Amino acid sequence: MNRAISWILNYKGFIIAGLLSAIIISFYIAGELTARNSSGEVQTGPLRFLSLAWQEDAVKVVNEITDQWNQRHPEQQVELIQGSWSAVHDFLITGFETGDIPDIFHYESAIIVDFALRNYLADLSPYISKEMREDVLEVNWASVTRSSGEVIGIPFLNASSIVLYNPDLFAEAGVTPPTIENPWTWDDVHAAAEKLTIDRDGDGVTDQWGTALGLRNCANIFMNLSISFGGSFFYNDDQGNIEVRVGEPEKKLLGTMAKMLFIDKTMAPSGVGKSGTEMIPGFLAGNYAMVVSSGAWARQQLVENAGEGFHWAVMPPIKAISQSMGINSQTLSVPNSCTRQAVAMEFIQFLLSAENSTRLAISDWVLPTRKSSIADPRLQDVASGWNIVSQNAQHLSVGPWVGLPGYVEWKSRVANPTFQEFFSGRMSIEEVAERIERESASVLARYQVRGLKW
Amino acid sequence: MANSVTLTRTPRNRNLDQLQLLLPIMVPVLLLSFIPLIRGIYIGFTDYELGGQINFSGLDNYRIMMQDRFFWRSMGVGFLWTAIVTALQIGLGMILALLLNQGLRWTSLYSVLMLVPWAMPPIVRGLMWRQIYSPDTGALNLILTQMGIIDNPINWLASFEWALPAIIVAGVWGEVPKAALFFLAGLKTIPGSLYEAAELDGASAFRKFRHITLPMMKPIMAAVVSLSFMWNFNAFGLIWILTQGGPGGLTRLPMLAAYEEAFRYGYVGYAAAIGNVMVIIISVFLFFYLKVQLKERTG
Repeated sequence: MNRAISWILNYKGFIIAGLLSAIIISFYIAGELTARNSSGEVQTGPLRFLSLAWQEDAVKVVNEITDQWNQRHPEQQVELIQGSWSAVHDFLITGFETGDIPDIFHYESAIIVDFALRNYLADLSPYISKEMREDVLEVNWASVTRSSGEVIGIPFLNASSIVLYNPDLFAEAGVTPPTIENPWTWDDVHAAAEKLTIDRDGDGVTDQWGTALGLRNCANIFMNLSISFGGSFFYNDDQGNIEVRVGEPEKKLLGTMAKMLFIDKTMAPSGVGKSGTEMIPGFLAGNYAMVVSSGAWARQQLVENAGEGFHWAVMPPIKAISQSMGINSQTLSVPNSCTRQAVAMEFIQFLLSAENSTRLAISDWVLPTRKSSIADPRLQDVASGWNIVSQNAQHLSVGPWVGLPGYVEWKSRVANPTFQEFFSGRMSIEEVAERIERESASVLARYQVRGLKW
Repeated sequence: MANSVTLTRTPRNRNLDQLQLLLPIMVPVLLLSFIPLIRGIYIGFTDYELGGQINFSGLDNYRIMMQDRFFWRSMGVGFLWTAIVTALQIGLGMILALLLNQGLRWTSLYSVLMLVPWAMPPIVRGLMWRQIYSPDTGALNLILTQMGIIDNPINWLASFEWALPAIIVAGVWGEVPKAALFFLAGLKTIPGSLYEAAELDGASAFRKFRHITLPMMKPIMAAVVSLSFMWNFNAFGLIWILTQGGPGGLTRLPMLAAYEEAFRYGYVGYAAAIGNVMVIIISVFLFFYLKVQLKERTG
């Protein structure tokens, strides 16, 4: 008896420690098990929907449509999670790896390609209604469909870019803006920019710039613009491998911008290091006569923030050899691990019905993907530039980089830094070409070794 | 009974007793800190990619790293940043501590004010400095243009000339208080009699600093330099908020590079390997630095 007590006294610490570790280990195992279970067991409770709508009206519309669904489907509720574009990537990545991921999420076609290559995404093709498949633009489907026919996300808004201009400054300088029938070429832009660049108080410092462009992370803009110059940076070689080349069309594109920035000095140097969004206040202040590439959504910011008497307008896409532009769309996807993919897709079809698509596009001021929405009379309005945004649908085309393994890494590791150096005046176009070609090879090699296929 | 238990204790038993006391602490530390750490080190030797399986890959990651231009460039930036920030932090911290040790009025108020930057989380410091550096609405551009030093506002954080100096200033600002606080504590422990003796011998202020203050402060300097080196080499939050490693990767410190590898490009194994290399670099630096410092002390 005594010996037992003394033994317990002696080994009390061990016993406590043992109990503690047992508890912690069981928590750990329980956690692992639930993480695994999430992909096997049938879940109940509301579907979680991560939305990235951020403009006030757009958030409201998404909320309204979700509420509507919840009223009509008491048996299958949807819980709306408000996400943000700046944090969504880390949120989703950790979600995919732990298995705790929303059942429906909003993101963009260029990036979900990477997720699909990692087998994170469900194939939505069996669930898409005939009506939706026929109504959404063919180019939009092309940007989210794998060669096997799998559809990795439903495109619903096109991130098409527009040219904004200030009609008052144009009139003052005696410049006539182009029309849809007679779009400007880049030479026309150069000429107009000369007239529109003005030193108002005569102190030798330019107060009003002909053009402006947010150049911080401009790879997206230049990739999409390159198509209108007849280039695309990515080319198929004889063996069917993809190769990155900076040839004449790409050099022409960079040269066109550099001419305004460095030689003519008609493009605002403040655009170097700024994002597209950050150019809007300067445009509103009358510092820029044109913003040569801006998201269509920026019109909402103009409507909201323009002062009394400020006028703005949208001009048709500038023509290099064509007016084509690369496509990138906002999408809704369902993760592979979701156990209720059919229901999730039902909700997506509801959210993106013809009528709702139009509402979403109008509230976010972005070009929709459905032909019926694009044809909506409200999207032909001239004053708000909708007529030109709707026209853009004809110019969309799928770049050869869409679906290319490693493109996301290439853009942020090779293209953006090189363009930043170029527009800071630290590199010549020849050096840009040489560097992009050299670095691309090493970045893309890692993906080619793994033999990933779109 | 109790006596008999006590009496039968042998030295081996006493060790056991000590172990018992430590165990309740050690188990959580082992499970929650040590095991994840070991797992992290292990992942550095695997080909783990997001969405893929974890396979042991030996030294492959390190072989890739040898030829990885992006990695070496970020290491270079990391050393430059660490060296400059640590040096400025030590120098300015020492000056601040000497001032505060002069027995001026309101010293305790100054000390509290001095600590404010350090009390802020790095993210908050970053947001504040981003505001100061803003090309349109920032205080710095406003002051400089009004004083006529510059004509046009400079986009400090996006400029290839200014981005690195800009983040260094923000970094030093936040880290000086830590050094100053340590140094102030150290200064307080130096016996006043040493200075009195030196004054009797007619020593100047500089000689007193050189021959009394500095030698007496050596152990504390060693501690502050080591801690700061580790902390600055591993900096993340402040830089991430200010530049995200840009422009053109100019401010991509090693920790940012590792983060990008894992979370942007999905190479988790490679990112962990970068972490392992950083641990080795820091350990080697500390080993030699502390060895030299300790030798001088005993000698």
